[in-house]
Amino acid sequence: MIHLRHIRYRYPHTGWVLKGVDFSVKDCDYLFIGGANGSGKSTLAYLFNGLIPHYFGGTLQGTVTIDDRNTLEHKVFELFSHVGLVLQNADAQLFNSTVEDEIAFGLESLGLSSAEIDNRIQEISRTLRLDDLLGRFPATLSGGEKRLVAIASVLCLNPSVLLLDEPYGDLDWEAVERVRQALLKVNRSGKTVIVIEQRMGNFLHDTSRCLILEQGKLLHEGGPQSAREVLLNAHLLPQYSTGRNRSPGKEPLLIAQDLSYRIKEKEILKGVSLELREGETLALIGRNGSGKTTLLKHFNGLLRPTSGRVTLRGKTIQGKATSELATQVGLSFQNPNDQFFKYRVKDEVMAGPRILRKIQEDWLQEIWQIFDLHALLERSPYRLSEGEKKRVSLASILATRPKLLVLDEPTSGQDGRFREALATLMAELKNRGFTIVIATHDLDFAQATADRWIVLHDGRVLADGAPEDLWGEERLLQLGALPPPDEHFISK
Amino acid sequence: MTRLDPRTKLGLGLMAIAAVFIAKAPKTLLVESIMLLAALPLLRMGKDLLHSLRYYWPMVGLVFIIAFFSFDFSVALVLAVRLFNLLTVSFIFFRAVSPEETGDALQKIGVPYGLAFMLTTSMRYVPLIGQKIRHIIDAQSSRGIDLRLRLQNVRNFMALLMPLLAQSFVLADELALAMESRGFGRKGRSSRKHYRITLLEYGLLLFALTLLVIFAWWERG
Amino acid sequence: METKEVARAVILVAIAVALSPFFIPVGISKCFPAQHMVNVLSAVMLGPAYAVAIATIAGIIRNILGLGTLLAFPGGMIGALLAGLAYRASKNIYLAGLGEVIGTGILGSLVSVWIVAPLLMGKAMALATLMIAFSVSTLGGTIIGIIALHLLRKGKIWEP
Ligand SMILES: Nc1ncnc2c1ncn2[C@@H]1O[C@H](COP(=O)(O)OP(=O)(O)OP(=O)(O)O)[C@@H](O)[C@H]1O
Ligand SMILES: Nc1ncnc2c1ncn2[C@@H]1O[C@H](COP(=O)(O)OP(=O)(O)OP(=O)(O)O)[C@@H](O)[C@H]1O
Ligand SMILES: [Mg+2]
Ligand SMILES: [Mg+2]
Repeated sequence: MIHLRHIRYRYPHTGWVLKGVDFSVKDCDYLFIGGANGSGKSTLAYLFNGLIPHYFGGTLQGTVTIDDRNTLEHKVFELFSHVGLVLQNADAQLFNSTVEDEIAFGLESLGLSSAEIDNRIQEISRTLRLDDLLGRFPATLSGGEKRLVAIASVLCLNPSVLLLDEPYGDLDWEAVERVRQALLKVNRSGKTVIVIEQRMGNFLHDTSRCLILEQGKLLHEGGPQSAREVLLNAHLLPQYSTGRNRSPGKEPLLIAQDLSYRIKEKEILKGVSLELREGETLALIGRNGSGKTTLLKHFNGLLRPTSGRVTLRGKTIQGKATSELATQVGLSFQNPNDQFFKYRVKDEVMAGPRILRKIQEDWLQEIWQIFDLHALLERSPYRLSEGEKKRVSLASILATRPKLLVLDEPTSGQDGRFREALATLMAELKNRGFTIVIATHDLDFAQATADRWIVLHDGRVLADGAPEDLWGEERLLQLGALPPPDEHFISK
Repeated sequence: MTRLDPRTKLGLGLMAIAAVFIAKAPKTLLVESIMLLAALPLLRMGKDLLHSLRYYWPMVGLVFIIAFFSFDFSVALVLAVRLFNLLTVSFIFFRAVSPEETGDALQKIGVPYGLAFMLTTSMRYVPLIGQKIRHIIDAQSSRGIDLRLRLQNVRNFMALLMPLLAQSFVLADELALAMESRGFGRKGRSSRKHYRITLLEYGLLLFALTLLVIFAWWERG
Repeated sequence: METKEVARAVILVAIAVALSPFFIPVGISKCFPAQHMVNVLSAVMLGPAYAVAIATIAGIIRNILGLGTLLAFPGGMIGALLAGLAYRASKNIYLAGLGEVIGTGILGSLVSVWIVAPLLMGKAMALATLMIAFSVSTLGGTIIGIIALHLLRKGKIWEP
């Protein structure tokens, strides 16, 4: 049993982040915790194994008890084997050199004998079917495998509670399914499972209870059915307006002809051809590792094809530096933190135009308008919320006024409200004549924003057409390029 | 070779480096060079060494030039060869150990766990940081900031360094969370791997040490 | 050992190693600033003991990966120690930088000369040449390290 009573918490130097949270978790519960970005979900997770207050400091009021242990009186190293916490960032979570060492680490912390450790490793790899992975390096694992190993590394400690912060990260549907099944198995074996997530859909039905946080308070507590309604009303499950205007575009803007790309004898793209017409919005869909990011990087010369070519408005981009192409193609990657190097949002957005000596006052004014940045201009970009960071990074790409805007995984980790806002933003940009390409696992979002989908699979184009036409296609389902209709993460 | 206890490996390696360090006579140096150059292909390290040469030659070249002007050609040659041998033997030594082994060995000879942990764990994060560097360069060039290695781009390098450092500190904080959550701070850790130095290995170490002493005495006399 | 500090040290080592192939062309020679920058950062943020540990471990890993030679050790460790001590005594990042320059550029090169070619020790001219060669790279890295500290402070990522 876990009890949280009258919890108020603030980090050192912040205001109250949790403002009076009260609830209990019963043994064997399957609990879902949802809420907007910054509503305090991860903070709540740190409370469960004593990281708050022992590691973070700050001010904690109220009590947290785990199986009758007050977390105030027990240090993290006394609690970690009762509450297994799997963090959001898989790269931080897996810090050992091999999978086997990874699983052993926590067991060694407990001071177990090597025979016992070997036993537990055997046992856990049988339960989660990790035998093939034991000798691998964490860096070479796929996203789904990383999650499974992370789960194994805490599950082997035999905790009574397993707590996961955004386990579905950037996983494709098949990996999500694998992790989801593993979690169900753990729950059925008699453990309490707590999952914090932004991607919900069908997964909500696995859970027995749902908590929804809003600005550090409980907005709702109840079963999955009622939670879904609350989530929809609060726009935490996004509702996209369906009024897409399909303008088939006239001139071809970008043409990729028979692109192949290999790295160290490994063929990643195998003869990809596509044509992008001016003013259309295209979504690239495909499993993890199908080559989406690799393909996008060919559009502005970050990668050069082994064979084939890319032409932009009829001119080849061969021999042009990426930074020169920035005025025509703007590519935005998933992690906005890859860009920030100024300490004012305004300088950050203007960095590109300044270096290219292409500052247009009226266009900047429009940018502040489109992205609603007026209130943020003087703030430090490092200290914004994740959604705000994303907006600033998109704005900084658009500041050089490229005709073609390319977004890699724009919605990952973002809450429903931001997804809706981004969909609106993209519609606005489309109206202004921009051509947009997105690569995403968020099929809901892709359906709502794109006129046309291209499905990549194993470095090849499998299908190209309107989303409605691709959904039911037998071939795509068989190859696993798209999820079976009843299993995909669509909220309706 | 790989079956040896890491402590034995460490000891043998250090003695080999010491031996090269002691050698001074031109003839000994020549024999040494020939042995090292013969060992490289046997250990399949020839190619790697060629790759690493770019870190060698500035120093070797500099020493040669300075010694040439301070003394004469033969002294310069002796010094350069000696330096080359020293760097090569240490190259072979480091290639033959893995960070985990070194970490284990250090821990066994009494170095605190935290240090051994730092050694093995940072190795894991080198490729990740390398990947981050590539992502940052890609993201910045995509918005017009050129980060290729050119002199005219030097001023832009803060655009690489700042995101890298900012993200690294966030990563470090998250890593600390993950370590805490798996009991890093707990006293009384056990270690899964058990090494034992066999009698044979003690013999080997003793034999090597005797050789080293004889060699040192001989070189001096 | 504090978990937070060990974690920071791990990442600083990784940065020093991952950036070690980067150089800035300076005339005909090259400046490899990474290790010196990390020395300044770690001396100021974590103190002398961690700074020396970080320089040593980075040296070991660079050797294992073939990204450096035996001379990475004296070059890095002495500078890290002096920078750390200088900062601890003065709380001044410029003095920490000075410690790094003196430690690596002068003491580090002296020790290297002693290791590499004891014969050269008596030759003042020769030593001066070596020191200049070392200092170019030290100075570049130290300046970058100090600028980085300023930016991190302004970006509110690090507070002294
Ligand atoms: N280490 C920290 N120090 C100071 N403030 C923090 C820290 N971690 C989080 N916060 C602040 O606490 C609030 C809640 O953050 P938290 O990470 O719990 O949100 P979240 O619901 O997990 O959001 P997300 O969906 O983006 O992960 C935010 O305003 C955030 O800025
Ligand atoms: N630098 C590289 N070195 C080796 N292999 C690489 C490299 N970059 C990509 N790959 C491989 O190429 C394949 C395609 O990678 P890519 O990142 O394009 O996939 P993706 O479709 O974007 O996947 P995700 O949905 O996970 O983002 C993967 O198998 C990946 O491991
Ligand atoms: Mg969170
Ligand atoms: Mg991708």
